[in-house]
Amino acid sequence: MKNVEDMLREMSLKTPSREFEASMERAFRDAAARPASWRDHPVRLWNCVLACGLCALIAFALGLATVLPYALSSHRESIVYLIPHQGPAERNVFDAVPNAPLKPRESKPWTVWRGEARVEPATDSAS
Amino acid sequence: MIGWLRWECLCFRIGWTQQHDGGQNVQNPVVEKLREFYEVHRQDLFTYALSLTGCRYAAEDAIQNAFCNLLRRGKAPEDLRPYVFRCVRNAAVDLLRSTQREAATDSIFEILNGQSAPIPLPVQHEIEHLMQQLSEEERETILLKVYSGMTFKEIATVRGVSINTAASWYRRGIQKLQDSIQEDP
Repeated sequence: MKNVEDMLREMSLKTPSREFEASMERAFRDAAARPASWRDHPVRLWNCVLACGLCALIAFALGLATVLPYALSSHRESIVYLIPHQGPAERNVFDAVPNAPLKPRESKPWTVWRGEARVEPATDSAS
Repeated sequence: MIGWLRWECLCFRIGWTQQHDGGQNVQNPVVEKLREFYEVHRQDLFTYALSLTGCRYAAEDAIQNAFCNLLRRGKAPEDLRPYVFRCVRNAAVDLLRSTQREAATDSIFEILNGQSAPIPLPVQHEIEHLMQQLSEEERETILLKVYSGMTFKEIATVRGVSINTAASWYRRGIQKLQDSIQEDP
């Protein structure tokens, strides 16, 4: 007595029709000839969004890393000198006169604050 | 950078894929993969779809619908066989549901008469009859295992059941066939 699985394998099966084969071949040919859609492009919209978000995050982190040491240090007053023409003295001028031309920075070099005492840079006359 | 972007845009506009080779428009890899799969498994797919729908034309429609959907989607997983068989199954079920009819009872077997028949004619009729008597799950599992050579894991993926369930369907179906044939030799 044969095994039932062997008997099943020996049975002949119905095959698909020729018309069906031709229509499947046509479907594959049409699909291969179809021009690429924008959806098929490897660079997706969400890739651009992700890249922009990442860049913004990095820029923000770099900016924060630049400013934060000044802001957190004991010499907090120094931070105003990082922004040109926005020192404590100049700000009052701008507030009082709108659209006033920018006042050029004073010719003397950076003024360094150390705690409460203001240390003026050494000049030739002082020496 | 700008030059590369312009080149990419140009390639995209004229419909080239990334694998453009010397200006020749190469075939879409997904389409080629599906075509190769169809060439190899067309008989298995047809047998499976015919067992589900019980009608030759509905089976052909189900296979065509499934492949049209796959081609339109433009994606093909690594393990293609259970995926495509499942797509064909879903398409067959959708087709039967949309036409609101029960599965017909056309046999998957081509009954051969004469010298070319490997099995005597009465035995062929008996096997055909016995296969119709099996439950849908048992019949499907036996077809996928015997004719498509699938593993129980793949059958479980196609049917959306556990591996043990698929294996027990198969064993129960084969046992029923074996017992019926031994009863009536």
